[in-house]
Amino acid sequence: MGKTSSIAVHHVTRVEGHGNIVIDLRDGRLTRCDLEIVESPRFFEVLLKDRPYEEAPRITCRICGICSVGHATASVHAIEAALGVKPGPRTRGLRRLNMCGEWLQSHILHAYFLVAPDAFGASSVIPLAGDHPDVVTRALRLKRLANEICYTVSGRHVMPISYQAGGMSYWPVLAELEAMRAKLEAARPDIDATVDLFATLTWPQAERAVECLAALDDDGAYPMMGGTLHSSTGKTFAPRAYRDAMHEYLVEHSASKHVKGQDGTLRVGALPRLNLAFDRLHPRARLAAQKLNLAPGLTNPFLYTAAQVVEAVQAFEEAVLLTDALLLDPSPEDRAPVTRPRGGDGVGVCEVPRGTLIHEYDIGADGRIIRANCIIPTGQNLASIEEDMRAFIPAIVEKPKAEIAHFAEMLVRAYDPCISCSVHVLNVDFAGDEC
Amino acid sequence: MGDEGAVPMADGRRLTAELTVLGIGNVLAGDDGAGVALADALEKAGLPAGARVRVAGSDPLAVLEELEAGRHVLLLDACRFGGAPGAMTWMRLDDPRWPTSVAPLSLHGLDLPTVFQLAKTLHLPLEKAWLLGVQPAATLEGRGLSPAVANAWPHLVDGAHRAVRRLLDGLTPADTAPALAAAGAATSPGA
Repeated sequence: MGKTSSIAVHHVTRVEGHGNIVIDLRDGRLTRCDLEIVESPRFFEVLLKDRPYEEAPRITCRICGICSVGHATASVHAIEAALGVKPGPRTRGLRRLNMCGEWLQSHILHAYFLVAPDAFGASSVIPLAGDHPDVVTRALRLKRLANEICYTVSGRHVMPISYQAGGMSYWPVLAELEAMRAKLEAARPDIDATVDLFATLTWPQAERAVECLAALDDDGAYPMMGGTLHSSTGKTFAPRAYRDAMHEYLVEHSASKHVKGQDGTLRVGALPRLNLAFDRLHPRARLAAQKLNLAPGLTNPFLYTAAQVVEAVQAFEEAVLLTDALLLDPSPEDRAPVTRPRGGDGVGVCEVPRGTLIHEYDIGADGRIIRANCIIPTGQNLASIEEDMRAFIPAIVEKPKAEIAHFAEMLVRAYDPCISCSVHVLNVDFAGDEC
Repeated sequence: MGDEGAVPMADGRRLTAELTVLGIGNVLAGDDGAGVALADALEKAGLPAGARVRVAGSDPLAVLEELEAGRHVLLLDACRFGGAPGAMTWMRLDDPRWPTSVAPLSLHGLDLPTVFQLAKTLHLPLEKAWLLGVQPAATLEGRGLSPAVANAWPHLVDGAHRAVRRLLDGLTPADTAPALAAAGAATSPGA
């Protein structure tokens, strides 16, 4: 007779938002393994309804304090697609630089403050700071640098309000760009030390091959600013056909929708991006991957963090290059005109730290948003997280409950879920309203 | 603006580090956005030399980042401290009377108490960080401040300006509280 037990982890720690893990074992057999998303729905698609399209990036950037640049980016991409606007290369470069700041900030936060305590055997970042103050202080320095990038580019650390169709309402001051360039150079030892630190850590062994999905930039750059959706199944999808690439569905135990890919669950985020676009990495990022023993074909979800460290190097190196480009060519902003102001339907895609973010807006002839749809990376990963638990936990059912719970928490945390972003599934029916 | 150097004061005293004003909160959650709105108002009006504004949203680690860089910090945030909606309070961040933040300020589970503990562990000078809190009336999801906070707005902006100038002048809380009270919107915590 095998083990019979119930394990409930209420409010998984060190993730954004509230989620519970529920595991039931009957006679040594796993009978239930759910990640319950219990965060309140936030209705942010409804917040967009009837609003002038110009407001959408300023509203959606407030969905998340970590992915605020990403939401502003996907939002302005959707508007530009709807209105037929093609921003110029300098605008695109500036937006990419801002995204580099967000990636660096988010990946450093997750790797150092949320995952490193597990790797160092600490219960949280507090004892980690006591034993390794240099590590935590370095993380603070890098996080500040990332925030400074966003501030220099968009005038704000987070929640940028400068995104407009065809351009940016804020353009960086040359002197501030020069100061930031110096700060980037000074931070290089911290970036190198980050790679060296995480290369010393060992990760749980848990392999499961899953479909990977990412929007690869059509200009050949590392996936960040959106483009054609590429699946590891070999299929590709234009952004407008995102519904063919992923299928949303409801489950009873989650306030967030789940998503399936072509054959079943799918993964998005740093690990799939590395699998799908390893050859697009900056040479220094590729060197970091080598040090971290990462190569295409990764199937262990615990390696998400190592992949994020590689992407932190990528974001850092791209920030250096993009800043240099802006300094070398301090010509004015290349604002593109709105050519089709009567509205239409547009899909905006970009790669935020946690994966592929999609915004779709239907804009009316009066310039107001009739309908909005947002698909959040965490929602795309939820089904895969549960499938991972169901695949991996049977092998450890004889271990103590605390160990099983800790393993499950680490697994959830590895994906760096942003539960607060993902909960927006419940539709609101207003009387007399067709939405 | 450089990172280092002392800021000259009107009376000849010098603040040994610059002051960063951090706007905390989310303007999509009613009065929870008061801190960010105040930060925006200060930036729009212009701040004295030595002070700068940053919007930190829901990131409490921003306090530590500024302290680690040797700066003083003034947090602008909505707080339940027992005052009337629209009233203002202020205190040092290492004050044991620290009030409850409206929306539990948290980034991936890193909330303010955790951040304070982290600051102590890293021996960062929490005594260089101050809170200017606004008592909210409503923090439900939705845009715009409540009537109570909106009515107090001129006083709140004025009080925030005075707090910045006082801190740059190197004054203590006891020095500053009367100045805020004179603005007509201040409440001294625990008084």
